[in-house]
Amino acid sequence: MKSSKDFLSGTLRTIILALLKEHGKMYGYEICQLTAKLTHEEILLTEGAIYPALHKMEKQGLLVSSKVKVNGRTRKYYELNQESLPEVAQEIRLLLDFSQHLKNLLKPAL
Amino acid sequence: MIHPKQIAFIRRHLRERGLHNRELLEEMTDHYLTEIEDEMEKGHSFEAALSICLDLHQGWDMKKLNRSIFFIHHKSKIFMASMSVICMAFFAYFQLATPVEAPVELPQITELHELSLEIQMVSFEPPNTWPIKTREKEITSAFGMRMHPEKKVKQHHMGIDIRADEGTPVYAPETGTVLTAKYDGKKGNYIQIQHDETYTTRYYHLKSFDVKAGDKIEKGDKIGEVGSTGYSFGPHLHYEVRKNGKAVDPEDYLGLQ
Repeated sequence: MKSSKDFLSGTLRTIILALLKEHGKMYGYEICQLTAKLTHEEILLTEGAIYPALHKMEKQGLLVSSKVKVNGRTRKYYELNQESLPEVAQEIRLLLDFSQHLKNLLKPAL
Repeated sequence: MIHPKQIAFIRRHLRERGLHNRELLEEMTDHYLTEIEDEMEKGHSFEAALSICLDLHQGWDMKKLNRSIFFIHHKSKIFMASMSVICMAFFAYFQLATPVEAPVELPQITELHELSLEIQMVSFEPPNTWPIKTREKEITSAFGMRMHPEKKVKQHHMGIDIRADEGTPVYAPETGTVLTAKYDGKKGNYIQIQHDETYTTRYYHLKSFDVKAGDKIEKGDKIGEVGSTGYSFGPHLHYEVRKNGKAVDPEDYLGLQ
């Protein structure tokens, strides 16, 4: 059977973008924690998923990063590139619509 | 508060699991430590928090993660590299095929000729012969960090010192133009030669000059004689090679002969 992990692959990027749009600067661990908290531990993002996604979006110019010294180590914060804001908002809207359609399609079958 | 040794431990642990990308290593170290700190806030000791954290992440293949990050950052480079290989193969084929099929006047040939000229320009030989022709060449002080023989302090030695008797002829290791030939309190009588856009060489503590600034010189021309002028304690030649103005180890070039 498929698990929530299987459904995550196409939506992870949009989830991260939405969190960053809402919360501003965040670091990797914080994004994992917040996702777990908001989904009551139903969606758990692992480092194997989140860091490649973050690095890729940074490379594409969607995100910008900054580094801060915290307790003797370096923390890398990500935030949305302001220029990509309209694009990101559009992507979030699309996924939300999509999930609504999914709901309409799936719900009657339960 | 986490001790630097504990930070170093996490970093080492991740590296041993195959995480080598420096940026990702820093990020994951912070990830683990923040998680450990969260566990410690619940009342666990560092050791207990560490084992909880490691258990939680046990299944993760760091090598795979490292690979995917590498691929993200270098995808364009890998693409460019493969494209250039294809281009080179194309050119090689073109170069071989054209003379048979077409007369020499074709513009493509000129382009290729220009290209090969350009390659020749790029592969101009750096100064790679000894400036002194004595049979035994002894380097008394090598390039790099050294204890200054007289000042007794650690200094970066920008060239090599070659032992030679006073009056030993110094020869130009490569064709060039004399930029400087004058006296300086520290360098003594010194010469600087510009060989091409990239390389210059310098010769310090000379007894005398055979050239003056502006002279065009050929490879092997005598430019001066070994001495002990300036800040020097006994006759020797201080020889420097500079690549784009930055001192490089002359021995790396002398080995090319």
